[in-house]
This record gives sequence, C-alpha cells and structure tokens, in this order.
Amino acid sequence: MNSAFSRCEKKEGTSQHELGLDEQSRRRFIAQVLGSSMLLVTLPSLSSTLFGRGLKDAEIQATKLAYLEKYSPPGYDPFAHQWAYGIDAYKCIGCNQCMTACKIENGLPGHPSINNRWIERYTKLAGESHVRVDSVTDPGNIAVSDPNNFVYRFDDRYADANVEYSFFVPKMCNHCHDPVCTQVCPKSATFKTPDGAVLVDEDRCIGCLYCKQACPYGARYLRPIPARPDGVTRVAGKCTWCWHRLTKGQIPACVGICPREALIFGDLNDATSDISRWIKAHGRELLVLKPDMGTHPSVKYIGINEEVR
Amino acid sequence: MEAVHVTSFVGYVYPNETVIAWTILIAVYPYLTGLVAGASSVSVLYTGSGLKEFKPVSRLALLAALGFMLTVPIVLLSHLGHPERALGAMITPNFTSAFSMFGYFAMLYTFILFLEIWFEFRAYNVMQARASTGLKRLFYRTITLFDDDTSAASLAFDHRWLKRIVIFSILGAHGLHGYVGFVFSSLKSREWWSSELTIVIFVISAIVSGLAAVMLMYIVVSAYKKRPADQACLRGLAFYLMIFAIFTLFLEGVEFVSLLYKGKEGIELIIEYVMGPMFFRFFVAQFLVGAVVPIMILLGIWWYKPAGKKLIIAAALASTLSLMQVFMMRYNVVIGGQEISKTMRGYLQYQVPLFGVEGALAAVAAVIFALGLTYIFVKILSMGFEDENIGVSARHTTP
Amino acid sequence: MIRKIKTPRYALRLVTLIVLAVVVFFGGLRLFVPEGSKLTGTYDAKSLLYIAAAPVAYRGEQSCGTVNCHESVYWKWKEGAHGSNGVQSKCEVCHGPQGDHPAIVKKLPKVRGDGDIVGLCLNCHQRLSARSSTGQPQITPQEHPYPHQGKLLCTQCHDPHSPRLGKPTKSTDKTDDRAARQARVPQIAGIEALAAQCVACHGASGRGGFAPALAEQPRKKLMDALLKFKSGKLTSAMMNPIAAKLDDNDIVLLANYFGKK
Repeated sequence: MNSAFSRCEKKEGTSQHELGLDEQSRRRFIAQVLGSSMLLVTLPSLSSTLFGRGLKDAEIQATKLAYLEKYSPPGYDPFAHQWAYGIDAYKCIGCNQCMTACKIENGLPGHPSINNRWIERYTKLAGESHVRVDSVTDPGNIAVSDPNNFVYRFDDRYADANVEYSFFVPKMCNHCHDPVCTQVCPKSATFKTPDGAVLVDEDRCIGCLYCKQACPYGARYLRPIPARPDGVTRVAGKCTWCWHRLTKGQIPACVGICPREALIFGDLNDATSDISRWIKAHGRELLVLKPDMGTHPSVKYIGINEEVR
Repeated sequence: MEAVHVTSFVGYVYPNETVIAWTILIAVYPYLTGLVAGASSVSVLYTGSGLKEFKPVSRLALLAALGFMLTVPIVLLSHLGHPERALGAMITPNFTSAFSMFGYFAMLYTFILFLEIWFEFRAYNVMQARASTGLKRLFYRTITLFDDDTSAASLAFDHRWLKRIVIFSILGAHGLHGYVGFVFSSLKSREWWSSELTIVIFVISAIVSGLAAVMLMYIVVSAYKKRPADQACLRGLAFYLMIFAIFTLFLEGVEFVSLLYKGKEGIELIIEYVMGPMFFRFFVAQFLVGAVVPIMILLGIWWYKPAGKKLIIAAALASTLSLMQVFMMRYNVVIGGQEISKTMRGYLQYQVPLFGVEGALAAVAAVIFALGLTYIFVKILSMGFEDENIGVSARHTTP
Repeated sequence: MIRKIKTPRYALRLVTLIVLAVVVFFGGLRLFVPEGSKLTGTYDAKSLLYIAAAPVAYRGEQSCGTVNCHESVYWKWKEGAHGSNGVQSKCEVCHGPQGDHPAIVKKLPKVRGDGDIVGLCLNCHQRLSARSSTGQPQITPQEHPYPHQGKLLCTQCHDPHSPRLGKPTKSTDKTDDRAARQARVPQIAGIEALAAQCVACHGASGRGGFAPALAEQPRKKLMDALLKFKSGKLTSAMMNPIAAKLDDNDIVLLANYFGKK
C-alpha cells in the first residue's frame, strides 16, 4: 500500500503531455493493459499490484492517518518528507571518514567485507584500455588500513604511474524508487517507507539473502552484529540513511562527518533544503548508477564518468 | 561476532560481494527439486502412460520423489539466517517476490505426491493391516483411515483417481522445479542467471537427473537383492536418458553460445572467468565428462543393445556421470553466478569448505538424508519389493 | 466412457481430513499476521518504531562551542583552516564519536581509532592521484618539507585546531567579540523557553525560590544532578518527570545557563 501512495504521488507530477499520450490513446493503452492483465489476474504478483492501484483516495487517507497515529516514531511524520541524497564526486578526497562514521553509527564490525557504504577509486592509466578500480577490500588498501580501529585508507599505488585520470566515488545503497530488494523479499521484511528510505525489519527478516542477490549495487550483507542492543544477528543489513537519526531531526552520520561537503542530503519536499538547491544547481549533470536496471535510484551523482558501475 | 568467510577475488568486485551469500546447500536445493521432478516423471511413464517396461521402477521412483521432496525444505531452512522465522513468509507473503510462493507451491506439490502415493498403496496397506497385529496394525489402520475396503469397485475408484492425480503430479513437479529456475533467472542483477533459457534447462536437466537417479537406484537395489535388473526396463530408461541428455547438452550449449555471441558488457570478464577458474567445472565436468561421455555410452547401449553385466555396467556408468553433470550444472549456476561480480570488472574464487553448514559434507549429508527417507518409505510401503504386484496400478494397467 | 462407481467411505474421510487440514492451517496462519502488516498490506509498520530507537553515536559539532564547554578551542577551529571555507574537518573526524558525551563525562580522546596522529592527517592530506587537487594541501610524507617521517608528529608543527603555519590564528580571548560570535553559534532553539520552566520554582535567573538556588552552583554539579534525575538515580517527584523530557544537549545548555560562569 505504501507503493500505492508513491504511485499516486508520481502520477500527480506526470502530466499526460510528458507521457506523450493523448487522452484517446491513453485510454486504449489502459484498456489493453487491463485486458492482458485479466489473463494474468491469477498471478499473485499482479493481483497485489492491482489491489494497490484500486485503493480510493479516501482509503489511502484513512490508512495514512492510522499509520501516522500508531506507528510513526515520536515527533516524526514519514509522510511529510521525501529524502534524497547527492554525491559530488568532484569534491570527494577519499578520506573514508564517511565509512568510519557509518560503521560506528550503525554498529557494524570493522571488517572490510561488511559495509553500508564504501569509496571506490577509478584510475585510468595511459595506454591501458580498462580502468582500474579498487576499494576497501583491496589487499593493498587493507595493508595500509586498520579495520579493527575503523581506520580505512587508500594506498599510493599510482604514485609513479602515468595516470590519465583518477577519482573517488562514494558508493552506498541507492534507496531506489523501484527497489529490487523489496520486490524479491519473500516476507516483506525489507520495505520502502513513505519518506523514501529502504529499511530492513530485523525482527522479521529470515536471512535468506535473496535481497543481497537481487541488489545490483552490492549494498547488502549479512549482519554479524545486531543493529539494536536487543536485536539479532544473521539478518540482512543495509544503509538506512541513518533513519534513527532522521527521526530525531539529524542528518545521516556520513553527511555530517564529510569534511569536504561532498555528500548532500535533504528533503525534496522542502525547496530550500540542501538537496533541492543542489539538484537545481547541477540538474544537467546528475547521473545515477546502472540506470538500465530500472531501479530509479534516489542517490544522484555528479563528477563521475561512464566507467562507474 | 562470528567469523566472516571472505572469498578472494580477481579484478574489482563490490566489497560486500566478497562474502558469498548462497553456498553449496543452495546448489543442492535445485538439485533435489530436479530429482523430484525427474523421479516423478519416471513414475508417470508407467502409472500415467502405461509403458510396461517401467513397471519395476515406477513405485521406487514415486517414493524417491517423496523422500527428496521432504529433504528440500530442510536444506533450505538450514541455510537461512533465521529458520525459526521462515513460516512468516507464508503468513505475510510478499506477492512480488519470486520466492514467497515457494512455501505454498512446495506444500501443494508435497500434498499431491502424498495423495498419489496414498491411492497407489491404499489397497496394499489395507492388506498389511489385516495381516498384522498390535501397533503395526494400528499404524496401517490409521494410514488407511480405518476403512478396509478392497472391493473391486474401490480398486477401480483408486485407479481412476490415481490417473487424475498423476496429471497434477507431473504438472506440479515440473512447475515447482521450473519455479526454482525462475527464482534464479528472475534476478536482473546477475547476467549469468537472468536468461529465460534457465527455466527450460532446469526442467529438462531435471528429467535427466531423475532418470539417472532412478536407474542407478534400481541397479544398486537389484545388486543388493541379488536379483537381475530388468533388462527391458534399463534399456528403456537409457533411451529416455539419452534423449533428454542430448536435449540438455544442446540447450546449455545454446545458452552459453548466445551469451558469448551477444557479447554484452562484461563479456571479456565472463570469458576470462569461464576459461580460468571455471574451466574444469564447466567444460570438463559439466560438458565433456558429464554430458558428452554418457551420451556416447547411451548411444552405444541404444545401438549395440548389450545385455547382462555389460548393460548394467554401462547403464550404471552413464547414470552416475549424468547425475554428476546435473549437479555440476546446478553448482555452476548457483556458485558461478555469484562468482561473476555485479561490477562486471572481476570475479571471485570461492572454495567450498569441507565442514560446517556451508561445507561439502553438509551437501553429502543432505543427499544421504534424502536416500534414507526413501529407504524408510520403501520399507513401510512395499517391504523391499518382495511382492511385484502390490500397488493399485500394478493391477489396473491401461487397457 | 466413464463407469459409475460408488464413492467409497475412505474417500469421504480423506476429503474431510483435507478440508479440515486446509482450514486449520490457513486459519492458523491468519492469526499470526502482525497488526502493522494489516495496515500496510505488506511490511510490519511497527518495525519503524524499533528502527528509530537505535542509539545515536555521532552528535555533530553544533553544540561543542557552547559557552563554557569547548568554547575557545571551538572558535579557534571555526576560524582556522580546518573549520572554514567549505573544508570542515569536524570535531568528530579526529576525536571520534561523541554521542554519549557529555551525558557520560569522560576525557576526550586525543584522536580516534588507533591513535596514529600522522596516519589520521594523511587520511586527508596524503597526495594521491585520485585526490582532487583544488582542495586541502596534500603532501608526500617522504618529502614534506624534508623527510622527517617517523621523527616528528604533524602536531608538533601544526596546531590541529588551526593547522596553517605562519599565519597565527586570531585572538582566542573569550571576552573579545564573544557576543558577536555567540550570535553566530547555531543556537539550540528554545533555551530561554527551557529555562523559563525552571525559574518558576528556582527563582529568577535561578537565584532561588521555593526550590534550591541554581545560580553560582558549579556547572558540573548541576549537570550531574540533572543526569541523575533523568536516569532515576536521584528520586524527586517534581524533578524526575521534568528531567526525563530533557536530552543531553538541553542538560548541558541548562547547566551552562544557570551555573557558575
């Protein structure tokens, strides 16, 4: 039903003109879609979609209210925000402070193979056809880091090389508008909140890691340490945009710690927020990762090139 | 905090990918569902199609299908992070997930299988109840629902319903296994999995593995009982095995060649990976030794029609290699898919540990468990094949 | 051609058994659907409450420069090269997460992590080909300015709170333009409103009313008392519910507001 809300909001923003359909052809299209859907209506996946679409506005409002009354964290209205995240790769200096802060804030182990976020270094050497990429799990970088103390560094391996170009790219969960992870979770233990964050319900996750397989961005892992003191291990873990901080009016730990203001976070519903102004300023350069996956990420990049996956 | 099993890699992979999520048990899972689908196909060759030469293996195949089917959830559960919560997937299923319906489908199919077996063995169980006393009698009375009707009318009734159930059984078995294929092929994030052919290959290779397993079991049981295996039956099984093995080889070849030919992003990496760490597993184990060699043997059986020991040895060899081929195919799909990084810039080199839940021994244990279950069912229901004429389909073959 | 066969007894029993099993199983499953899932149709909305309850580790630097806390060093940092011009190496970058400070009053760690000061500086200041060249100064440790790696620490020449050499930082005199600075400190909203609750009992400016005087008490004592009221170590019918509503920031601000300057 949550998807029903977001779909409604999406429709409001999309005029028919943008869709390139006049009224008649739009009706024909819907009729065709419905006709073919009738054949498939027995398929469970479709029936839930149709059910979601069939909600009336009043019902949505009623559900929204009930939801707000009962399950919103104190002082936080999940329907009032639409969070988004920007990454300015021009500014990133690869200091890995965001990763350190994230791991401590979210109670992750220092182990380099379990990350909510990480930084990749893309380096094109003159005369080579492929870019070289390395990140926190690279043996060379582990050698100069101290994962037990949450210290991560990049080694200086290209000091003597003929570098054509080189840059850092912070990577994280993209909090997609159409996430694959929530699509494939057999139990709805991972879900998208009305404010746009994709979260994991650690009390219901069965730890099958289907979501880890489905995520095109490699953003998920199996938690070896519980997120809450009373939580459990062996459930799927991921970036939550520090949802526990958002509900207290704070920004995510990575954004707060970044020394170069390379990470931008804010509310799209608020035209004066950092992210709204940033998107306005850089609208023509904005890129997302793996757009061909059809996931529509909420994390936008500037300063990356086509080699970045 | 438990130890994190990190896999070494070549090139660039996402940091979280260095912990392989689905290990050998998840390769055993489609292997078992494949065996179920295959075994149930074999039993249908007799109960449904009335091909008389498959009579000796029909009931064995049916009971093997149940034994393997009951092992499937155990394999899946032991791999989960929280098996105790797994029932929740049936309480609040997420209908958009390809996995959410598995519990329901598996239950439905197991139910159909139970029903099929119940009708097949009902009359026999009634006779058992009559012949025995005490607890044993109570047991057989219970599973026959306290009704000792063995009239001709009731046998006709059983037979009619059995034929109807068989249709659903064969649909359910292949539906379930094809669904397992869909669980993998529906993931767009992995190039190695997201091929529509995967489902077809899964189903066809399932028949291969089922035929091979039943054949091997029949040979072993016959040798153990010191009774000659039925030659016509073995030849028939070998013939069908040959056809489906050729079909599987063809489809797997087509899938791989089309992947190469399309040459989408990351194909250099896939070639490097397939020629490198996967070479033995893929070309040697899966294609050459697992498919080409048994097809040659089976062609020999078909062409030269050997008899006696020669036939048994050839059939045993071909079926063992075919079983190996299908397992390597599952392994190369499940583990291979995860070894090719989503970055399309590197691959991982996973080493199967020997011990632990994710170890090779656990996989062996799962298969032994399935065979043990089959043995128990055989003991309960047909007492080691002493009587060739038990079971309702033995009496009422198609006119 | 279908012959008419009478339905045997066992078949009826079987059907009854199946219907019963299906009803019991699916009926049983319905009982376990969580309340939150009934509302959303998919996930359990209750989990939002749990996720939001996770503890916060990083508090941010907004309140570090509060009067009488780390005021002078805060302003030294704010006006130095580490705290301005879009380069903000924030307090917690070097000192580590301070979410439980000052609720737990402890000695600030000099640096976070492994205590390797040079390594911490090099996290940002080592020259790497991927590091954008227009930002912070970058050095090659073997060359800077002559090879003294392993002999000298960065902090022996550079003040980490205002690291630029040859450009002394501005006066750190507290009385100087304190008012102007304070106006620029991101004020935690509502300190006056908070304090207004206290003066009802503790008297104007906390000079004493029917509750004890707060003014001229050491800040630390006030802070400790409030924290103990909050945690319940001290019991007071009046103060416990009040303190329970205050967060750590409020407690620091109130102690600063009323306590001995």
